[in-house]
Amino acid sequence: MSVVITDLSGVTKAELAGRLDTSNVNRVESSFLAGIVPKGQHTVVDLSQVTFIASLGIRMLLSAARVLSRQGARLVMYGASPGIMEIIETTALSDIIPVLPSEAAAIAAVSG
Amino acid sequence: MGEVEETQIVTRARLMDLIPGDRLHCLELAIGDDIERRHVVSPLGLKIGRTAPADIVIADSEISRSHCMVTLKDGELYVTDLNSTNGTFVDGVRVTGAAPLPVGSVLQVGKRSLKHEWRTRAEFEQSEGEERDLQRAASYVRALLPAPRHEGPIRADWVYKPSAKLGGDAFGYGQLCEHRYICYLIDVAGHGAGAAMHAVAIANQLRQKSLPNTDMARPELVLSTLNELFQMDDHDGLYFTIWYGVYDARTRRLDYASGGHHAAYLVPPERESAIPMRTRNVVIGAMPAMNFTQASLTVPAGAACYLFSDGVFEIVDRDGQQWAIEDFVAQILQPPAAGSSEPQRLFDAVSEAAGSSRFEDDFSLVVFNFD
Repeated sequence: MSVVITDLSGVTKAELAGRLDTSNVNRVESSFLAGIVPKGQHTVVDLSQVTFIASLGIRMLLSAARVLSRQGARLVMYGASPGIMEIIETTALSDIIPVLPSEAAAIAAVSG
Repeated sequence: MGEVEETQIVTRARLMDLIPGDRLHCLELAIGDDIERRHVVSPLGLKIGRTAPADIVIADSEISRSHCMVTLKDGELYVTDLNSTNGTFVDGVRVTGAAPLPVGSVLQVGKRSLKHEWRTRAEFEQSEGEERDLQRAASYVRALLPAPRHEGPIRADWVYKPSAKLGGDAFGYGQLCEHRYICYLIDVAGHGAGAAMHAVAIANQLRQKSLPNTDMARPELVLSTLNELFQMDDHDGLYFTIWYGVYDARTRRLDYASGGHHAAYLVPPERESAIPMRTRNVVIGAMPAMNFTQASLTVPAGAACYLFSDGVFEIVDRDGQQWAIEDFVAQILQPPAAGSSEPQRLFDAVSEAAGSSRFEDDFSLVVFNFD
């Protein structure tokens, strides 16, 4: 499980890779939140290398979205595989954090 | 049960007294990064196997009844395979004869791993205390669960197996008025006593069959009220999923709503298909002022309803494949097993597929049978 944070000229990009299961979330949650929250800017999360999301993974994403929203910034996700999309649909997470098909669409969504 | 647990504690305390010095050789059975159980190796040694009288009993079909023996000699640990079917490994190397098991090495038996740690007594006693706290919290949750019902127009039976880390599952059912019955299952995100106590707080609200200004016979309203009452910012970042249903025995109509929860399944008596019952609603506590929807269907005579937490199907099977809910639904449609309750049959089937009866998450499954 890894998290890589980069800056795309004013938009934070967080790339997650691996299984977002309970033990991995415990490991990456602080670097994920510390990497995006202090910047306080619109954020896109790349899920294309994520193979599984447990409930704590959903919580990590929700926490980030809520904190950013208080700072007036949006968080969106993209690149979810069909298996990940099924988990996101079950929790209706996309009602709170939009899921876009590509990085370009995600950046357009937060910048628009 | 209580007596057995006490006996084990007494035995362990005596073994510890046999060990000189401030540090203890421990074998730690782990699930992922979490320690499930910690065993002290005394000068008497420890036998590992699938069944009693082994000292460390691990329910794993790839482990032999008497699998291997760990001994302590001159302050060092050694492991000897006891002619097990699948072998004993230290850091990936198969053991022949008495092999050293250095501090920090990992002993592998079947699909499970035990790490050799050299702990101070203080560390060991602290972890024992935390383990007892989790056991107490699990007992408390269990005490809130309703008794199975073997009579009446709706019978209910269940299996609840909390994980070693204790998840946040709870469920309940009962009569709302003369002809209406409610049932629900909640699953708080996260593990440990905190998640369990949050589940208890929610379950206690629902057990009262009353929420402020809410018609408890309307699932969408129940979810909406719970969402306002249990916002995650006010509850230590905890959110939960729920499935809530109301059955009217006069009309045979089942109204239901799920908040971030996967489907419950209705299985008609011919058992040829399982009908998913789910409405698309966000998890409870994620965001205030969300709209919730409900749906309904008519329950055929002789049908069964399966309500469960995700710990029931989010397993990795023996071939390393991540299960999806469809894999569990396929098990639901298998024929009932003689001499075993329906929830127990399914628990056994999932344990068999996973190669273990210890899961990462709570296993909660309730089966209702309708007249």
